[in-house]
Amino acid sequence: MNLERRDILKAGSALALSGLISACATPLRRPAGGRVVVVGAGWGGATAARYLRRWAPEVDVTVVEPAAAFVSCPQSNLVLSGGRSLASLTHPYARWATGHGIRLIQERVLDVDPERRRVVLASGAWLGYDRLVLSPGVDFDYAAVPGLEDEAAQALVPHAWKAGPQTAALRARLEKMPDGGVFVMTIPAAPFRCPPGPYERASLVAAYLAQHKPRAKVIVLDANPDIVSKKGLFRTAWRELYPNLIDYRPSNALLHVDANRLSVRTEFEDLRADVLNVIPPQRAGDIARRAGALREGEPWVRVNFLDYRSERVDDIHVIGDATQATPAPKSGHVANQQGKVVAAALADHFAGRDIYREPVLSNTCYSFVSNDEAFNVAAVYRVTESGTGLRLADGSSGVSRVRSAEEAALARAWATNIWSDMLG
Amino acid sequence: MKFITSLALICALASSNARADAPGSEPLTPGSRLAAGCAACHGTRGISAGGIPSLAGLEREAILQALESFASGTRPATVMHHHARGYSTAERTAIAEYFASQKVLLKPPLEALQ
Repeated sequence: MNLERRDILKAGSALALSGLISACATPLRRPAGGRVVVVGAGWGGATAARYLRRWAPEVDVTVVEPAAAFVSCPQSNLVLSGGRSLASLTHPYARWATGHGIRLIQERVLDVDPERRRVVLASGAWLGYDRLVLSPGVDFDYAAVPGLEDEAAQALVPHAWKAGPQTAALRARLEKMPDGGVFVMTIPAAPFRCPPGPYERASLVAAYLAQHKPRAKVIVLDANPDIVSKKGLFRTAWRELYPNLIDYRPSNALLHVDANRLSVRTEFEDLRADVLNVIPPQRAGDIARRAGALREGEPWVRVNFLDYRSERVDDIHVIGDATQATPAPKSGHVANQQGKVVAAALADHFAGRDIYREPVLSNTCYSFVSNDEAFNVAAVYRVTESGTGLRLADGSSGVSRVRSAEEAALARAWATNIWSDMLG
Repeated sequence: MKFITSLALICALASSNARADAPGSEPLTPGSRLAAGCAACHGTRGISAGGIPSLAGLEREAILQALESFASGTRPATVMHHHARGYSTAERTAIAEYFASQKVLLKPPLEALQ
């Protein structure tokens, strides 16, 4: 479906103008507390919706999400190593929405009309809002990966960077891989979703191979000059747990993919893989661009961190991986925290209170290096004086001293608790 | 068909879900804003779904003392020393007061997650 923006908007307004709304049993009315539409029920959007209902129960909250169930990206690398099932990462939305008085519309959003404050759905219907929260996550920039521009080629090379069928597809390819085969993965230049995620993946693929295909190898082609996150901990784990199994090649950006031959070309080499995993370069989910929230030529949305409103479009707030939130990482935990700040800011707005000047975000991010051992990075972030940036709170940032089984148990407990906090 | 779907949707949207007496609502205070950050690991309102300590209903002084000793480094931790240092003493106090005031222990709805 490749509709032009004006056609979509025309379809929506024609419907409204034809007087059909009067056919509804209940007349359209504005709720006293305001109408909020949340686009995307991932880590940011689901948290924002739930906490907005908690802190401003008089506000009408509608969530638009195409999926029937949430599937967690965090800990989905454990599906590759057999340390988790995909089912354990999956949580249906229906009961959650009913329980919190959230209206859930299982559809895709096609467009946003900021002037009339409307969201246009794939069905052609539209939703009016007073405030819009976009939590669109990332989209993949396949145009920047020569050889993977079209969908047929993409289907041959799973990214597994959004959890679900892609995760299962990559696991299935690992299972079919011959012993003595080569797993090749490519990492795009930072920033991307989940900075330590690619290195966790390399570790957990190695864990699977060490157990099931001991003669196989992992080759990691990283566009970055070094491991982006938790470098020392990953290096030690690779040396001690998987000696000679993981071949890490930094500053080795992907130039071309032959999806049929499963071969890749970089500046330095041509490689053929038995299983190829390309983590594509990323940018804000496309609805952010359609809504006009992106600056020309920039991949991520700039916001005011006091209330996450877009610097460019009125009445639109953007949270999660789609935002330019450096030094905070694009993590599920940070999106959860941003969801709470935007919920509080909207509750303040509709209640006529002043903007709250001191929101605080924390991040706790665990990485597994085997099914039984993990480590963390933790930090607290505060808003800069201008409101347009984040900064590390003094002395608040650091990583684990060592990997441990204790932290693997804590990582699993973290997942249980944060999923419950979003979707319970 | 598309037309009927659209009409049904708009009708569905006409009724409001807003209600001021919603169960699970709470006042927005400096304490509830800050403590919501902690809820990611310790559970909503400090009621853990397992594996990480619940904070709801603990004594104010006990929570505050724990946060102060994490921040000073006298109490060993895997993540809490980093978190505790990110907040001011006034903020740590507001967090302790919030959790101490959560007297009702409820079973979390997603406890069967794992």
